[in-house]
Amino acid sequence: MANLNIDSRKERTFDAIVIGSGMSGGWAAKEFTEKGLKTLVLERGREVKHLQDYPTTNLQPYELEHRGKVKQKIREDNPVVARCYAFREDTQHFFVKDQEHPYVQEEPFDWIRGYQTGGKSLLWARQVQRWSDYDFEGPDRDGFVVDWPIRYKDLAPWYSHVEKFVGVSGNKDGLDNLPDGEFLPPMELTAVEQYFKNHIAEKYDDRSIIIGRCAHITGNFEYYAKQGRGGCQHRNLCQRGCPFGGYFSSNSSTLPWAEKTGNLTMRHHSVVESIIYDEKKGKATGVRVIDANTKEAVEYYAKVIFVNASALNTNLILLNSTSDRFPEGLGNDNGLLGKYVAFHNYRARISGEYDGLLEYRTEGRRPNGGYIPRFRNVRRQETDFLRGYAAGFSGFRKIHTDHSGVGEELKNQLLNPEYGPWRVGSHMMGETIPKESNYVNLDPEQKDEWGIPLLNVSVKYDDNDEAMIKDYLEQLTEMFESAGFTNISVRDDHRVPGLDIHEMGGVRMGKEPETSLLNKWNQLHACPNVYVTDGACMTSTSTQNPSLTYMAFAARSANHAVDELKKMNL
Amino acid sequence: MNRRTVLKQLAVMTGGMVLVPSCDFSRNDILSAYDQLKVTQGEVNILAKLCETIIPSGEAIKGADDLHIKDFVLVMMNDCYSKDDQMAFTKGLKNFNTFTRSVSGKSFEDMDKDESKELVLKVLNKDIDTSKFENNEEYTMEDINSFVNRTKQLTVQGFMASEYIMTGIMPYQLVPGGFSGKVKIKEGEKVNVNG
Repeated sequence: MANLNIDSRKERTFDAIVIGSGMSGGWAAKEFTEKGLKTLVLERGREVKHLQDYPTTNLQPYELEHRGKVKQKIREDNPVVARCYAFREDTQHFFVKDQEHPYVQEEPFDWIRGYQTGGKSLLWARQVQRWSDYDFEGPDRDGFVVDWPIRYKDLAPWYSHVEKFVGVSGNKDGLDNLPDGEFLPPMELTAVEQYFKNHIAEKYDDRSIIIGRCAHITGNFEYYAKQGRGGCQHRNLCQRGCPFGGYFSSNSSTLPWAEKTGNLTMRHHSVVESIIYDEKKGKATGVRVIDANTKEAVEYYAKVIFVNASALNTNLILLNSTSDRFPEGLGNDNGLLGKYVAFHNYRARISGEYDGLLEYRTEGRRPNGGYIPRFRNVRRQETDFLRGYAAGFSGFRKIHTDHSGVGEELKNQLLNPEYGPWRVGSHMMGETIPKESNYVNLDPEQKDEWGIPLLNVSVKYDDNDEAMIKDYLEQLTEMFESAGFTNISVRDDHRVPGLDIHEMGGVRMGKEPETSLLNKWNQLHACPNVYVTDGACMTSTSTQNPSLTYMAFAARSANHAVDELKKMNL
Repeated sequence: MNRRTVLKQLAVMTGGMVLVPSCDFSRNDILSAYDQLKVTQGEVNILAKLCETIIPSGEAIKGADDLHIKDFVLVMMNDCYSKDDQMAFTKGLKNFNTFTRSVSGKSFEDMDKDESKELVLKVLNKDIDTSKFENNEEYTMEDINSFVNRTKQLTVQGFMASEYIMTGIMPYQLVPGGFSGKVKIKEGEKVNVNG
């Protein structure tokens, strides 16, 4: 890794700067360095090296002092992150604690963050589904926000490009609302999931159950060995960091790949304060960084800048990048920067039991689940709410242990559990409609330790979300009942936005500079050598887990930037 | 696949990375739990006896004493529960002998195996005549319930999630290697909660 001499402007000058080393930043870095661009990746957090820095990865359950439970003091001090499903004793070191990085909640919002090499790509749920034109055409058809400036055909080759490298396990299901990708062998559905799939296929012509498409290596092993990655071993302990490189993270895949080219410089503990805009040149010339430890300010320069700081932090950096030309934030001529933030609605779930197929069980573990692609309002508007929801679906044999009594009887019961019925469950992933009233902005007074304004988040559910929850629970109840599932119970956990960890928007793409911030190549309309290819660029949210789309945007835009640099357009 | 093979394979995959399988608790954590919960050695002995009553040690299968479950209970209480839960637990513990004397005329520590089992079952089944100690100001039946129920819950957890159970009795595989969604259950097959 290059030895940075901060006294020399030349040594602080690169071809490209990527802000953020997570899911999408890692992809920009990979594409740039492969194409020969000297690339600086700025990461605000500490270094987490693949394999070396996964301290819990090989611990047995009984080697965790509290068997996975996070200490009470940590939970009380950090109520936001403590609500995250993946925040456990064995993973807590990869999450931002509330107290370390405060933000302002004008409306309650659980902002889950990972400040380290790889960002949240170490921690994600690894579900990767493509968008289809039913998703890209949604805003235009249904008359909300603005039309996406691209369609499926624009992104399809980049989905393929990303999927091949990442490794995606999936089944070719032939669904036009969820296009097939470049798949490695699929994981298995359980017996009850397969039963439900068959039942639903028979009973409904608009609904399907499929095995999740997940970023795990299940084939083509020689190809992935070149990345130093092996096949998924089904440990299902992914968020500890995988010692096999079985799932995709920036740490295991794109960053080491970029480093091998010799063109990558990584700088950790580098908090980007703002992007520097040069009025005479009419473009951005670099970024201003605060060293997280020394608080010293340093500037780095490049011809092209990619902002991949995670959706809300990307908004923060742009809002904080003010100049005479852009007094309200970089590229913010229309005042829309920070507005139209949206997310996925994960509030509702349903569970039940199935008394058939009792002669079967499952074996091993599966870091994946079943998936129900969106079926509501896909081809035409059919409900009184806009858009729809996808859903997870999983079913496993329940194991019943009698915990009554004490003594030899109890001990005997504990050692002789019995199989109960199949336990089935589903959770919704609803599209939310971006609105001007759901926004982030900079707190006018409060600043963090690095002198950067705190981000204020004001994001709420609306009536459309409530109607969708009701419909999801009704439809899934009907589907469960028709399959003969019993003991059905439904739940709205009333979680606040953010816990889905799918926050999006604020720097939306669009055709017109008057109504959007980014063009069809993810360049700021008003400052084209700055690209945004993380969740902030999303015009609408649809229902797919979004990371795959961010990665495809990052790869596509990086290649566009390389071409534009060659043509001397940037 | 046994643990040694798995570890060897991992070492290959991870370029000989050092594995640190630390077992159970460090002495310091246990002492710190004693200290912060302000429990005496005598009280620890009462807790140990309650754990052993809940899951007795035996020749065929180990139990609470063999597996030092009382240490697990104390460390969990100290680290993972709220101040209110801790207060009720320690009140119940500190007054447990007094409580058993008032309801059965005998200190818990002096009871034999059958007596202690009968007493604990009565508490769990809410079959206690509370009039015998209603005038005392040291503890309530809720404290006793909280202490006994929490200890039972943690004893069961500590037992089932012990290395002993998860390696020898109901093996947990750190690296299962695969997944099958539909496997026929064999006649008389034993159910493994970690399978």
